[in-house]
Amino acid sequence: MRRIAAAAAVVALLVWSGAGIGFSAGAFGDLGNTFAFVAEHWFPADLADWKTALRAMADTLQIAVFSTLAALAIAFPLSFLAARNWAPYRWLYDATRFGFNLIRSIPELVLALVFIPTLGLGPMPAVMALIIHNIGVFGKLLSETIEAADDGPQEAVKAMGGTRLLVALYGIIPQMLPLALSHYFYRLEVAIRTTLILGIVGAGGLGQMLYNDFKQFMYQKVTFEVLLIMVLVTAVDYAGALIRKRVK
Amino acid sequence: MVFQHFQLLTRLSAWTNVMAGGFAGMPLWRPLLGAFSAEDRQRALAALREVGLEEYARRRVEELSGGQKQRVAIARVLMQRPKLLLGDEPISSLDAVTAERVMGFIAGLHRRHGVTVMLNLHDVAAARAYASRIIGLSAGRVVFNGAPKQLTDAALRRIYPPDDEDGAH
Repeated sequence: MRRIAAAAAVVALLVWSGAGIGFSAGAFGDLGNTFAFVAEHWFPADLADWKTALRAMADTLQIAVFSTLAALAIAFPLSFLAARNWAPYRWLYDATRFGFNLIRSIPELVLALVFIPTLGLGPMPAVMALIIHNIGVFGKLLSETIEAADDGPQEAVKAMGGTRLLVALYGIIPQMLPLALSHYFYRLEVAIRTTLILGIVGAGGLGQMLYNDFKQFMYQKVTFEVLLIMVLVTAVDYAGALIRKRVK
Repeated sequence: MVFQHFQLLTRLSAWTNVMAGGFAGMPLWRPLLGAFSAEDRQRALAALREVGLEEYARRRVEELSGGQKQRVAIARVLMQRPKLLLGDEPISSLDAVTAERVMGFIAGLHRRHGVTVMLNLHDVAAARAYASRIIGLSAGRVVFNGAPKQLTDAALRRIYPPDDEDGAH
């Protein structure tokens, strides 16, 4: 009975949402047109602007690296206040957690749009948007890592007369390091993709270049840029795996 | 204090673990920056030497065996220059041979440094072999208090009543 009710609820959700967007299964049948379009107009990749594209790729990487590192540096100490097992006061825990949730709920694109009138075009609005959003994300991820940390080492530091700061430094941080690194590299990967999207609102980098070429129907250039994006994301993923392997 | 499950900073070196024993007596900035004084470093190393683990000083505790871990914990106690050592079932999670070695080190602490040692144990043989005084508890009451040789089978039955195997806590 419950299973039938659950299945009915899922079907109802599908119908409600699908009808709302006017979904028609015919779109799948038309996928062939897309393949034909790509095959016809997107190949071979146009490498003429490779120098500019590589420069733009570096810009994208730098925006993402700087923003995530800054966000991590700010969120790391704050995340202890948002961890139930470490926070010195309940109200501080609630306040920090609420703050993280609040800034995480605003998408980077919206934040960037808010910053453009005051900071102008270029990477700065994107950097600010990425930093703010990622403080919220790192704050949540790291505080949960702190809460999941093994009690043993923390008890040990307390038993030795260590203060709350030493409990964090010796009892928690050594344990959370590998997971924190994991979170960092995942967020860096996400930040690279976000930076590409923010290129549409003028953040520069590979995203903006791709968008401009696309608007001018220069699909073969877009192909090259998409390939560069794949190289960039794969390289970052690989570098992350390498570093995580060394920090055990 | 020595614990049943060692309570060590498993991801840090044995040396750092022993130095953590001195946390209470250091100015906060030293452990915060990891800038331990030369004296503390030397004392920690000497404590490790005393439990025979000097060459493991830079090893991570998680790489050590159970007996070695408990010896690091004993070295950490030494670092605290204790007058009294409390042990909460310090050998319960060790095998018999390792347990004997660890008891040996604890006894050495008493002999060489004059530390009063108070352990709670479930190992009657170990208690007989090392203690100068045994206090038997059953269901929260003192049912025996005397020298090891006074611990007769009759006295033992009062601590561990035969019909109640779990009564001796």
